[in-house]
Amino acid sequence: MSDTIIDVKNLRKYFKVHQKEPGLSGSIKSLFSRKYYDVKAVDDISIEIKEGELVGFIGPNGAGKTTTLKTLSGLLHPTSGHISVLGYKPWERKPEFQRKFSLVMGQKNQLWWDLPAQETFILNKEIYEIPTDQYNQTLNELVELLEVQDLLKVQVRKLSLGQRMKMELIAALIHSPKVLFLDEPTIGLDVVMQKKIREFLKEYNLSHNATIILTSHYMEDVKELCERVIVIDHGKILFDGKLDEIIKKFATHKTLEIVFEEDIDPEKLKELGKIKQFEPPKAILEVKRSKVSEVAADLLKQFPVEDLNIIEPDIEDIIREVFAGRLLS
Amino acid sequence: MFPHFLKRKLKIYAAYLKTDFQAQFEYRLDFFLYTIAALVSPIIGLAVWLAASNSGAKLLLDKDQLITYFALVLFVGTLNQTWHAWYVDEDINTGNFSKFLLKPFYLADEYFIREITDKIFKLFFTSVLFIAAIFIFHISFKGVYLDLITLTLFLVSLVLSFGIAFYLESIIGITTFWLHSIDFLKDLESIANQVLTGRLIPLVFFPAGLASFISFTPFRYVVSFPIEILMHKATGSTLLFGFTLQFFWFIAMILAYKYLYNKGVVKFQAYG
Amino acid sequence: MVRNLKLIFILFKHSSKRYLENRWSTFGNFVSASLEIAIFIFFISFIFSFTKSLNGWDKNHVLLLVGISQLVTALYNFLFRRSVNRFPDLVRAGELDLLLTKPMNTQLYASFRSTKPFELLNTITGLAITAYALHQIGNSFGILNWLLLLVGITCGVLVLYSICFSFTILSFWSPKLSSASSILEILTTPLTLPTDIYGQPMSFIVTFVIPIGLVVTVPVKLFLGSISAYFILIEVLLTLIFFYGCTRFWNYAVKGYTSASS
Repeated sequence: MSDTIIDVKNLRKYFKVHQKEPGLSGSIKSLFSRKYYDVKAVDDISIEIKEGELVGFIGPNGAGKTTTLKTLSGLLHPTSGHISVLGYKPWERKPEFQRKFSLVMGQKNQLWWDLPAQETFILNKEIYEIPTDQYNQTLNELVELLEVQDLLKVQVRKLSLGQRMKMELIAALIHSPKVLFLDEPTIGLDVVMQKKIREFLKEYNLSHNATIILTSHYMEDVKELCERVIVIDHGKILFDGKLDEIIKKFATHKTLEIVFEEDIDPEKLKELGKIKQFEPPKAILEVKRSKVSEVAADLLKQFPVEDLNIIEPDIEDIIREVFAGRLLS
Repeated sequence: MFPHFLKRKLKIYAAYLKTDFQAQFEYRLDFFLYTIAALVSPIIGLAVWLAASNSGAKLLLDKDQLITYFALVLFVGTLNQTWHAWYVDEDINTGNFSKFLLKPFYLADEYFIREITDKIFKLFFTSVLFIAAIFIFHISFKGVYLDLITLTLFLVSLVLSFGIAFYLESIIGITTFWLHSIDFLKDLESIANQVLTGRLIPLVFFPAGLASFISFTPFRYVVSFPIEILMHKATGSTLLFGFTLQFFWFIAMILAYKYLYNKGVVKFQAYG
Repeated sequence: MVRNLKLIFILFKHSSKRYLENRWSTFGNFVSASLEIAIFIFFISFIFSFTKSLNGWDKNHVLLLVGISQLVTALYNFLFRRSVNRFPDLVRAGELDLLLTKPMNTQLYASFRSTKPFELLNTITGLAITAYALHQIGNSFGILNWLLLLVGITCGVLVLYSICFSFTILSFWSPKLSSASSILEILTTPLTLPTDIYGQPMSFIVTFVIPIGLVVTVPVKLFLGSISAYFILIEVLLTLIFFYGCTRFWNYAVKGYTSASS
């Protein structure tokens, strides 16, 4: 039975933003008195994550993903609520806690720009007080997994974006953290590199039983890596569970692709479901999930059906619909 | 044709001015620190020369005059303080400069607008400090002449001095086209600003030969000359000579700037 | 404590490697620093062509002060200047966030990450001027005086750091702040002159409130023996207070940053 290592209850994070009135008089006014209003970046979320889980946060920009991640890593104080990561209160930023996790942000580097990545690793060795044997062992392992043996001595600014990301990951994992927070790790990378990074993360998660939380707005990241997905929008959790359950929860309909043997009467077809397309001999029907088997059976009974396909809606489409507010029930 | 062109330019200026004014509010802290920086010279200058005077030095300006002089340096020197060479440097090095090639807007114009808004703020600030200083130090302004002619001459000279300072700074900025870093030039400028403009040492204290030499450089005309006019230390032929040189340097700076600018643009377009 | 020293050492090693290529700018930097100090010396010589003393300081004593100020400034520049000036970039680029998640003293890291080893060249100028001034003064100074000077210089560098770093902390609230680095330039000229020239009460303010006087004037006075040796205790105490104040300000700023930034 794995332990719960991340425990979040009723987390709220509000930011005070000052709104400047437009124009010159607004500027002058802002010199003397400022009006603030609250931005609810995270608005009452509760999550429990167990050791070894690989969890993905998805949501549109501004949803609260990064804010949540920053709060979990101690970069932000919660406005209210309870957080515990590895038994620590993250915002206290205790060194014992900091030694056990790592944060990687897609567009920000921790590597020294004009030195080889190796130098940053040595620096981290010092910062995290990693014993030399352990350091060498971990380094070799990571370098092999990520296939960067030849790049260790190359200055970071000469590396490609993808190679840099690999080095960032090594720098982040050199101290064998128990928890890894990744904020948009594959952003800007080409498709091949994205795949490589995903494979690496999956492998690392399995071999080290490291808990990995990642945020992304690439569906592929989440599909490939995460069994568990948390959907966030406007600071609220819309869904928390297995990826395939999203479909069940949010996809209220399935699509039936039918090929008929002969001409049929579309009016009769309408009784079974919503006709999305009708080009004889093909037809596409939208049917409520709960009724799919019933409708399928009826179709086969009432119509001369040559071919029948039951199609799941695309996860991307569902998520998109969710964010567009169309499927919130 | 001509008035229309001017009108359009003025309209653009006005719009730019307004936006920049607002942007300036965002930089309140920056502005505050830079202005404090400008105050240091006159304060130190006054302290040093007063101390010298108190320790028995015989100077060409008595104590009251020293106080008056440095109070005026505080005003004029702060007003004419420029630092936009760094921004020009940044714009060129980051390639931001291209926007000037695309828009019908001249590089100097953009920085000029910023300077104007900057001056307005500075004027406000230095006026407050000036008035405070008057009351704290009981400045009698002995030796300052406020008749119409002197004031007019002073204002004309002030505007010219601003032009010289501005274009000198702009020239330093655009040398970025050829030099890797303008640090060295800025350092030289800073030294010249301290020693040759009268900010730390009243130019009249220099031995005749050196003072003459400085009269031929643009530096006297950035701070010292307008003050000399106001204190009636430049009269008759000296006044004429001074104004001639100030005009000369004003024009020379603008011409040098335009020449270098055009050369620089060509280079920029070649290499990007 | 040991860990912090080790961290400083590694940062120092890295800085040396990183800036090795910039030989031209190092030379240019040395030339302009030397030029600047030459101008100061000219300025002082010029003043002393009018008078024999400046509120109790004679020419050679002021030259000594110039030499020591050059030494202190060069040491500060070596250890802290580039790191302090570049700190706003860290905030702007968001790299500060990553630093805050690491188990180390972030202030220490931010203060030492870009040391400038070649600045040590400028200490030579300072030492040369000091040597000349001492020669002109002619007196001999005992071990105690030298010790006081050493401690005084250390305090001076720390006070200078506290002032400059406190200004750069302002970039937490004003990320576009570019003038935090100009605070050092503001201070350069005042540092080369004895704070006694300001008369009272300015002299007092400039020594104890805006502690510029603590950086050079007091150490030199201690060395010369023009103030009691016990004053070193006050210097050390005040240095610690200002340093502590700077650290507190840092903590306050980080706290605000972690509450407010998104």
